[in-house]
Amino acid sequence: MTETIKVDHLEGIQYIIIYLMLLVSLIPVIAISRSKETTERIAYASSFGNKLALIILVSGVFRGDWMIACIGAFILIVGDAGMLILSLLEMRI
Amino acid sequence: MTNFFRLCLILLFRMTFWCLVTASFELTNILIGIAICLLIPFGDFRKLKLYPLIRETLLTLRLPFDMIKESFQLIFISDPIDGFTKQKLTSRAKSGSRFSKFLDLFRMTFTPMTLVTGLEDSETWRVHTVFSSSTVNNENEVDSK
Amino acid sequence: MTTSFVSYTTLLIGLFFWTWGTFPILNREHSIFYKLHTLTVSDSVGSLLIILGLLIRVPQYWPLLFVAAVSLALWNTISSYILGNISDRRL
Repeated sequence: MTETIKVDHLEGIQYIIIYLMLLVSLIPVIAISRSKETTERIAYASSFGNKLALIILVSGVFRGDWMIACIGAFILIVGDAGMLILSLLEMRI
Repeated sequence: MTNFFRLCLILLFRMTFWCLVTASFELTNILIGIAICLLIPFGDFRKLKLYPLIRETLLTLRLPFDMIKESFQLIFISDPIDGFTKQKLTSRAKSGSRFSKFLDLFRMTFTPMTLVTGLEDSETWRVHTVFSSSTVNNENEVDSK
Repeated sequence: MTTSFVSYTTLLIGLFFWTWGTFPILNREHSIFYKLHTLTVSDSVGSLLIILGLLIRVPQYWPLLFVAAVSLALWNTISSYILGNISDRRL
């Protein structure tokens, strides 16, 4: 009845890759805080959402835990669709 | 007969995505998938033109190589300037349905060097590209296109 | 051993594309169109390379990775077209 989830331990290069991805994904946050126009802000925010979803996907695959990677793919699909609807609204105004 | 074939093509397309999302081939799963595919409204599938669609889909398979090539092209431009060019729609996109027009737009916008920003008139795309300002004759290039 | 090396190499190339494509958005001198081009390099090409690296590492989970890649390509392309259209109209 009780199932234990096997989780792999991460190697050194995997930590390096994930932290580098995290550092790169902080750049759009700085760019959002510096820009004034709404269209640029939408572009940077969708880039940020993309990057965070891929970080979740990569870390889930590295840990060997498929549920986390599944949630990463969901965030990728749904978050980008939300950004698309926001930019459509911006086009209509 | 052709209408039936078009209907089957749309059903096959939807079932492919259903099987990819659920990732299982059990009988109950496939039955639920067929029911959902039939429930989604079909739209005007009688206007679907098959031959241009197949040609455009085959052209889309060339995209990964173009993608890598054009991104390196963009990386090596160190002093970029903007420019708009005009590009004709392909004859398949003009004569085909809306979907083949979309595939034509998709192929241009997906690669990093070109970005479609709209329709100039009913036969030309308005395309944004990046030029290197160090090349001497770039102004002539912009004009001639 | 070889597959893991190839997978890490593809991931690092994708990471390079991410870094190169994301840095120009801090620059105020570039226009929004050039920023959209570089965001295409980082978000489409780099992310597809990263997903390819994961696919080499865990080939048994290809359906979800394939769906992620297709949705990534479609949404990024459509949203960059729409943003280009908006900024072109206001030019």
